[in-house]
Amino acid sequence: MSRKKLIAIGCSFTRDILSFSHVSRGVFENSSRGVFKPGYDFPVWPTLLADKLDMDCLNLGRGGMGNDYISAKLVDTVLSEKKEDIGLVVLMWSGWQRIDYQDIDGVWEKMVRRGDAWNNNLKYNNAHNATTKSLRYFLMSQMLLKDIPYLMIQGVDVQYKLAAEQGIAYAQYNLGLMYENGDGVSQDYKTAVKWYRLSAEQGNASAQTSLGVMYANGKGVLQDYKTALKWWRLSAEQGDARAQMKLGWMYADGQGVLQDYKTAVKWWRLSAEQGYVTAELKWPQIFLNSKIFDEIDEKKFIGWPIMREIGGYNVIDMLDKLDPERTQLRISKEDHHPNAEGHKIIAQEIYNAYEKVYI
Amino acid sequence: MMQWSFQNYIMLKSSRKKLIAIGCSFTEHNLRSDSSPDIDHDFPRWPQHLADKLDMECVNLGQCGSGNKQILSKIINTVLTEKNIGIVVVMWSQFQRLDFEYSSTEWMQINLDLDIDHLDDTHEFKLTKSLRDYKQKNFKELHNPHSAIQDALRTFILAENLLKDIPHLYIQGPDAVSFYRTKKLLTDDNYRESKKKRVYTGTFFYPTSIIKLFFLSSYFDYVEKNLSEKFIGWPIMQELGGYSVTNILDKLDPERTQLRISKEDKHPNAEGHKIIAQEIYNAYEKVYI
Repeated sequence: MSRKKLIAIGCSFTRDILSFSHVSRGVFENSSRGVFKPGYDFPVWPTLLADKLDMDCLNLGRGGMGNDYISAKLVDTVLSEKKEDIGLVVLMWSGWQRIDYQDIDGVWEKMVRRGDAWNNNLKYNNAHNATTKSLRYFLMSQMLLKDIPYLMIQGVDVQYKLAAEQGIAYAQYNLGLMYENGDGVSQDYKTAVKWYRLSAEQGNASAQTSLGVMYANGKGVLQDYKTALKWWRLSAEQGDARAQMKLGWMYADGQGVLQDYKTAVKWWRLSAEQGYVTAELKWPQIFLNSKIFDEIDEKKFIGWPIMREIGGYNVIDMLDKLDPERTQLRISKEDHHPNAEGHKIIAQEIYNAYEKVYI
Repeated sequence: MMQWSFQNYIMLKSSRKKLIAIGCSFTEHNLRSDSSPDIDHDFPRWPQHLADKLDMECVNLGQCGSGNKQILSKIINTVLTEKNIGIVVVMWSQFQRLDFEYSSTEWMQINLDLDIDHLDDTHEFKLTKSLRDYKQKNFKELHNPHSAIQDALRTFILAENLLKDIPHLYIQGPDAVSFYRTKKLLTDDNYRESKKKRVYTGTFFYPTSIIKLFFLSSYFDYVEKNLSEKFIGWPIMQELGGYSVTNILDKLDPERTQLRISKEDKHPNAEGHKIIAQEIYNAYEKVYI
């Protein structure tokens, strides 16, 4: 009797580096720094999980892809695979603000992440759109998989700005965030400032904004509005909505700069256009308020309700909890993707859920 | 004998099943014509006519500018929240529209048919050429015809999965990929001029390349096998033997003087809406009675 199939669909956290399934038009994708360095030759979680479950592994993960791709691949799977041959489908969802499309040759591509197009994407594809769109995908997938064993898990962070692909600057920013909030480490503003500065100097807009906040509040450094203004301006000019909002307030209050309401309004408008009013803390709120939220089968969604703020978790959170410095379970400091050990942990997490739901 | 009262009337009304109509401007109840603002807009649209014929309560969720993603979202909301559904009628929109749920009350659309000013005739598919700026380039890439057709057919399949236990019908409203039709008919100069005036005349034909993309899509056979019974006019394109609402109206009124709002506004007028309602009613009879 032939073995059943484990079908895994996701982004770079899922793709099988060994099988070259991610190769497009004969050229390696280069979206994930360090992925193709020599020595990156370990089995990824779908392979490990398939071994545990004694199933054949069909890995449809593809680097850089978002939930448009994952949902489309699921439709393809349901239409093309025989139901009785499928042992388990695992969907590892990607960043919610990603947009995917097929080019004229049918090859899946991602929306370019720089320049006006990406800014416009963030404007249109704001917290509200990204959240409701993803919830719709969750629900429709759940319905498509009604008669098929499945599990879901959120891979990378839902918000693009916190998506893990931003490499070392992102990792440094994240460390700053952890030290500032005492999240998994002892709270230490000076160390937070150190990491924020390292990241900000590399141009990470979120870090620039946070560093500005530290200066404005005198946390870990002497209070200095002019320096805060400098960092917020740099970040705001990169399109960071939080910095734009703060810069607007500096002009409105005349802090570190001459009071100028016109300029304040200009920055506020830019911020609002990006949906800053619906940013950050609003994400969980939008998520919870959606009609679809209660329809998701939480038993089959590992880490539900996904967001830390409301008691959920994603794969990044899982790995960060065990390895807050990101030195043990990631490819490298520069590449946040799970390494061999990281993939084993992910496979075990999904296996535990499988046992709980299906055995 | 029970005495007839207003309360009984209300009870009777509320016990009627609902006809839920979802679509774009071809469906919206409150659509006002931008180009012909002085005409009388106060006429029933096809959902109301159809609901009357079926003795159902009409819930019209049509909204001007909607693309198929917004329509799918409304199908989900309908399935999750509506009770006592008699039938759901989905009138699909143009494939290349991009929808964004901008806030809890507002959707935003990018309609490539109207938002892009110029195309490179020599590269029908290489749409990145000759576009005015980077933003346009990227949005155009995003919804190139291949992507748009695949996306639309996938959306049909997902809709069917949602509606499989509820009586429903589908029909294509405006031309599926109208951009190409317009372009095919007009040269660059009069294309721009016409678009400015929003003049839509004549019956257009899809380029073979578009028909091929549609017909050879990996989803076409599935839709044909599983959805076509309930999809009025399938396979949508005249060249394949199908039709859209635009085609129905054009067949009866090729000059677009009788069944449209005006020469400048291609939306169906009062008579046009009656014809659409009859077409859908005929399909309802065939499938459900």
